Amino acid sequence: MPIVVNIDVMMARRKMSLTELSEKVGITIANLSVLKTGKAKAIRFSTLEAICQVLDCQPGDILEFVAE
Amino acid sequence: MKNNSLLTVATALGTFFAILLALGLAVLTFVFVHWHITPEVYKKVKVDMQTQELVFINSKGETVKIRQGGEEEVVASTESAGAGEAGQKQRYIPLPQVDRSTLYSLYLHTAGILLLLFFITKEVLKVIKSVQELTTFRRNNVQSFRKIGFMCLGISLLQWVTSFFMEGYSRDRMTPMLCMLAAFILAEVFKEGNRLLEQDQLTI
Repeated sequence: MPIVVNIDVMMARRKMSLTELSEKVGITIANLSVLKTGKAKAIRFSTLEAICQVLDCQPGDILEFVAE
Repeated sequence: MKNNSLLTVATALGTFFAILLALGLAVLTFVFVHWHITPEVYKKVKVDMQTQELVFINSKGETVKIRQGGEEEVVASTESAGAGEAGQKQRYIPLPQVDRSTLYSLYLHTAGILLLLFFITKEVLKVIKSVQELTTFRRNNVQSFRKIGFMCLGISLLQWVTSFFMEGYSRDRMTPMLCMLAAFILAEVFKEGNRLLEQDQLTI
């Protein structure tokens, strides 16, 4: 998929673990892993909003378009 | 899912129908094998020829089979049948006088259809069970509907082949074809449902 999820980069910048993020965002570690590994087919605006709020970033910092 | 009484009734009916089909096939095969081993037991068995579409009784009281070219072939004569009443003489003939190939064809045809119907019922029961377990749009249901479609095609082909060497055989050939079409359409619907389900599961 040409959409790349850079959540791990943002987590590293904020020095936040997957467990901590999942607790703060309110989604399971399994779902967060799916998102992190790029296996997710879609992301809800509510999830994106929560992640952006916790990581204090913009949606563009997490999602990136890379042409195939 | 809340206990759906309609599905429970459908499961019970399906199971009963499957048992009936299996029993029918077992009895048919037993009688067929037994007839081969001890044909003398069936000497007195008389066949109701008026219900058979491939043969008929002509005005002379002979059992006649119509060939494809239109020519008639005498298979058995009821004169030697020795039936009691005059009315029955026209209708019933002893089993040994019935064309042997007709019996073979009828057995293979009936056994084939019973077997296919049995497997179709089993697949339908699998689908109903999956609906009860809330696993409706799964890949195995897509495969079940495809199998049902192919088995309906099998029934249709069996009837088509039978109509070639059993002249006068005329069964409703449209129903299995329509069932096949419906099964393949349902397989595609379930495939789409499965795609949407997987997509939904991977939406975070």
